[in-house]
Amino acid sequence: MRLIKFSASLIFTLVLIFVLNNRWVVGGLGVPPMGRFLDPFHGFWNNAAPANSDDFALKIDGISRPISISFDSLSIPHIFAENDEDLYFAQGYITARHRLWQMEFQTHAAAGRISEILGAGPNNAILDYDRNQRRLGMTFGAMHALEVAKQNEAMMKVIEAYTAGVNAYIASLDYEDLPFEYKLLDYAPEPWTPLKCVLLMKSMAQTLNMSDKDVQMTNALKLFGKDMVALLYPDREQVGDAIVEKTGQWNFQAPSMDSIPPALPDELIAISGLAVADPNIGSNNWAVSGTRTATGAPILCNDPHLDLTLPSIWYVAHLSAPGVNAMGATLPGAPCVVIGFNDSIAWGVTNAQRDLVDWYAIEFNADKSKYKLDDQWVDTRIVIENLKVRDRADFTDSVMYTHWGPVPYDNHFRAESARKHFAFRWIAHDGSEELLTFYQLNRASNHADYMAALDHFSSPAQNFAFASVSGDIAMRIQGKFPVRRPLEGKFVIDGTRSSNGWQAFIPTRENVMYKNPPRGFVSSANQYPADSTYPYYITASSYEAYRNRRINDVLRADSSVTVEDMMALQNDTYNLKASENLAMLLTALDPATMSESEKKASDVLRGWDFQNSIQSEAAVYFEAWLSNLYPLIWDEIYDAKVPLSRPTAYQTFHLIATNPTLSFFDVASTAEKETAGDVIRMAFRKGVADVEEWRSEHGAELQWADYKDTYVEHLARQEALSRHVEHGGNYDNVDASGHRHGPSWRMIVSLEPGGIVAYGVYPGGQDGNIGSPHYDDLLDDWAAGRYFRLSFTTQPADPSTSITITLNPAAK
Amino acid sequence: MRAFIQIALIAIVSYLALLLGPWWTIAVVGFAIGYALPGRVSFVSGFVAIALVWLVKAWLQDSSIPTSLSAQVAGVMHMSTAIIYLATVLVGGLVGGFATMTGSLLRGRKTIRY
Repeated sequence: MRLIKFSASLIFTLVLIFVLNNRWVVGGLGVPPMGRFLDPFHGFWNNAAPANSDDFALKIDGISRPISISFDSLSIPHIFAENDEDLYFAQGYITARHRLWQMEFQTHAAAGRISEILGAGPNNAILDYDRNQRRLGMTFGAMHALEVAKQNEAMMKVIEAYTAGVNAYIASLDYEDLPFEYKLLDYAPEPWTPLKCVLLMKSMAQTLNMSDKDVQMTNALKLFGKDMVALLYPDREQVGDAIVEKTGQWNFQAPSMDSIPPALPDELIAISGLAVADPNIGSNNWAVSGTRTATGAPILCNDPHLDLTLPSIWYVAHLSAPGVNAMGATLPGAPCVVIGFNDSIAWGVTNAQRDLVDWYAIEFNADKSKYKLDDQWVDTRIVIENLKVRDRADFTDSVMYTHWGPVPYDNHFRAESARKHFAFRWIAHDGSEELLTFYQLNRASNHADYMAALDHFSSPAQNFAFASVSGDIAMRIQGKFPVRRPLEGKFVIDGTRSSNGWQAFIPTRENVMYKNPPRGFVSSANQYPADSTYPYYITASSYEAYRNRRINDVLRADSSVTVEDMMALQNDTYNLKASENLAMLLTALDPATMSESEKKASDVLRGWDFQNSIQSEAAVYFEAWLSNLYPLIWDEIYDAKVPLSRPTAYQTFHLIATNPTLSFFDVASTAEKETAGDVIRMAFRKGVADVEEWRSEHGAELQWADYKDTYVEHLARQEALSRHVEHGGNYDNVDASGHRHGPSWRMIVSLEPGGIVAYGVYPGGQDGNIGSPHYDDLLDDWAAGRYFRLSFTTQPADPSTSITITLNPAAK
Repeated sequence: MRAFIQIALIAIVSYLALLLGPWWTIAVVGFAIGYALPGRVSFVSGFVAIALVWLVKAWLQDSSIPTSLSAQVAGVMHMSTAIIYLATVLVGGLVGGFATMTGSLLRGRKTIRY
């Protein structure tokens, strides 16, 4: 009897342990192994990371000399190494210590591998995301970049040292040390690789290049005709200064080439879920010459507007070794500082917007094993993509590759036509060496070094602002740009002739650039790059129309700027779009037919100071009005069954003002024939109704920050790990903070002869661990427009506010 | 008294063992002490001991930082903070309880007196 009892109890205990030691899928949801997960000694409770106060030392394999790393009060690492390899080893090690899960998750996402971790998702959404990444050739591009990197021995050593550092950290981890997300999702980190370092750059290129709209424009051309396309989507909106204005001083000519006809297909192109980047992603940078600053030293400012996420896209670090002393924003997963400064110079980037993506119409044979190119049938190359899917069998996808690149959308994926296929040509598919640019910028001491560093940069094309302690300022739009024939790249192109491809690239020193312009400052905010005398044809999905003018207006008006002025400008919420157009919109209203709430709204709007400030009530009414105006005007585009692109806000207002009877102002779903005035009134009514509804749902006082709701979302979309903040601004304000995007890093550098004075802040925190006080400790300061003075000394940091880790070489 | 000694012993030894071994070492400790020092209420002893150790340790971890770790994790798991604590106590307690009972059953009643 006792034996039976004992056996039953033993078996039950073992089964209990087994159940609690493993992950289970219950009702489609993964439940972590509850025993391991809840164990307060090893499970998630152990991720509570109290602020460390004691210095400590570690013995570590893979370094040659001792490395000292001080974390300041913001947990920014100041790394002091005795040689390059140790420096980048330490950067990899320390970045992984704070951001390992993010680094791996983002590179998995770039490579199309998150189904491995998260499963296929509802309606296969995650699997489809992965398939799309594979089909766009992300890893294909990264492999090419790695091949180029391998040709430069010094650069490869940097990438390998960084990789070794990340892997040394991973090797030091036991289950209890894993970041929370690994425990929750029950998986373990895999080794880091050099490929992942370059994959990150390709991922950034994807974020910044994929607002391409060749397919949409081709559909527009078929539906609306050539003249209407020119009216709705001009190559250049005639507004504001170009980034670089030096009319008549471009002393070179573009080579002449035969024009190419767009391939206008005989049917509309129907692709569901065509990958498009968010058009609200943009950035600001500017540098003011010492002749226009209060101290006489140049000031450089940069704020890239990207997804607002936790952990943040940026990780701030200070990297010091013989020959280099650089600090600024790094990308977790890649060596070197990407946006920052050193003892002599500072630099910042914004996206160049240029069209670097083309789609070529392919003529396949019946079974698609061959396609036509220059009157020959060429073999299609099939690449098999094997996708591991958690809790499910692997998924195998096959992608057709052509002379041009992959065919992302076909009858197996998103394309609704079985016959028409388009190959995808993207500059980021080419080999490139962006990391070398950053490596050299980190060490640059003057304008000539900056120029030499930028010669290596191909993609994603950026507007590089520059300033030096020696007093120079400069702007250079750097990327690998195909020499385009007029209209090339606006529409899909006939892919049966290889001569329709990119024939040449703009020589790197013929890119748009200048140094020390007479106006005393350089600036860029994703606007049109050059004056009309620039010899090469320029096209893009769209250029920015408002932020750039506001920035230039403010910089022109102040001939003695201070760091505080620059902080104010980065946080400027002046709504130029509103100040230009509100009066016109209000004129269209008819007070006689307005309800009480509409009257009140129009009164509030009339008294508005055009600030999208936190408390502004008028900003709510204005933005709600516009949110309803675009879909009413462009209903033909919003409701289309094929991909189409909406004209920009600037062009919309331009057409309201100059062409109020344009056919688009008629709302297709109504019997009446509307003009611009009618849709403005309809949009106002709907906008006020939306605001009233919001008010009744939230019961709160109406203020812009709450209505907009700036939301900094955890990368795995876990709401409990995400944060809402009260912050003003909006897209098209200099402070371009919307609901999900905004200034992801604000940096101001005063290049004073006595030493660099730098300030920075970003919406997040240095530590990706949810149990760390540094998970989100910068967020409130970011929201309030406050900055931190970045400590940039070569002296050991103040021991009272910092801790120091010493990495010592393990004894051989 | 015997139950109290059993609880104290399981709690202390499992605390030390957890500094070295994985979570299921609580079962080894419970089993061993259940065998070495069996009692009439071994399940309860094992349950209370481990539940107590896990509760105290969880609370210490949670209160060592200014932000609330448990509240965030509770949010992720779609439950309340109290439930996260309760689940922790229950999981530890049940494994501890059954393991101690198993050890005690192996030894049998005869050896209670020594």
